[in-house]
Amino acid sequence: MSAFKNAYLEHQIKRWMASNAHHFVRPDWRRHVQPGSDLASVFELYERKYSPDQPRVPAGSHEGGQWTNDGSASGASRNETTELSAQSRQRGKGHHELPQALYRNLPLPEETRKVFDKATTGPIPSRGHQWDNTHREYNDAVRKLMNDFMAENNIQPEQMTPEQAQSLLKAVRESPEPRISNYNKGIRMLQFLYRLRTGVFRGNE
Amino acid sequence: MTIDKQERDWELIYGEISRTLERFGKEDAFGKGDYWLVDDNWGNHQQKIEVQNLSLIKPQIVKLLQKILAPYQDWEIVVAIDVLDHKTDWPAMGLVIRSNEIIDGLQRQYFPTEFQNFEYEGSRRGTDRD
Repeated sequence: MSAFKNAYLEHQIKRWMASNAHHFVRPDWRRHVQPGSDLASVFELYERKYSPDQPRVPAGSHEGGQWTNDGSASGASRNETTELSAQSRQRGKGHHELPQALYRNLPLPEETRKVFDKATTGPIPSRGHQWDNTHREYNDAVRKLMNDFMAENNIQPEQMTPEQAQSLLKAVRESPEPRISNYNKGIRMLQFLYRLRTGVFRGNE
Repeated sequence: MTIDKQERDWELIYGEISRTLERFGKEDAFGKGDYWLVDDNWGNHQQKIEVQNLSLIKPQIVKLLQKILAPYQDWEIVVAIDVLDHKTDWPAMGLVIRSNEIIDGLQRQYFPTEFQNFEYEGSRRGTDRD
């Protein structure tokens, strides 16, 4: 998702979430909402939004002051770190806008490859629709879009520039192809719900 | 550069699953093989496999996948059935494999006869929301 859209969504969420939002939720909402559902997550967020008991990330880190469940940054202890391979470091978290299977084995220039590696949504730890196959269908559709893009612009992988990579990613984001646009809409909804649930308003990590 | 524990565990489990499944089938991200092990890390404690060939959900293979999770008790492997010839006439279904249980959401009545009798030790019926 573009930085512009991230900023827009963030602004809208902050704009429309009233400071007393929890007063508009029935006290007995749990009787009517399925536990663990996305709606339940949102209502729980309203309930705890201004609880003085809820821990925050300690000051001193870049997430300092944000709500958290356990007082640590992003749920995982920052002390639990380790070194991994160069491949894993490049992967990044979240959905890759250009599926890795499409470019992993292409002889791309390193700077171009980095553009695709970095084009992720950032973490979205939602369970989503687990037994669906929309990701594979997205891969299929993006593969066709990429092939058409490369052919129309007469681009050979080994000569693809970072700017051309950005143009391809823009085409993916703006594609009207239902398998692509519907998947992207689903991703945006999950990001929205994740941010509502966690109060984390950040771009790609 | 350092990464967090989730990322480290994701990589380790991904590698284990990959090495296990490549013994039984061919991976393809576009549905032309036997399975696809989803290569995006969404930041949760989950791996996802989309299966095109029902042979990949034989109990002995599922057991091997479950063993991978023994040291990772808060992780799960989601197996989604994605048989291309039945994209429209089969409902979404699959398995959720955890170290201590298997959520069985297969609807075997749709399967060819030879796949209808698969049973998983320690499994219970459920959905992908369990």
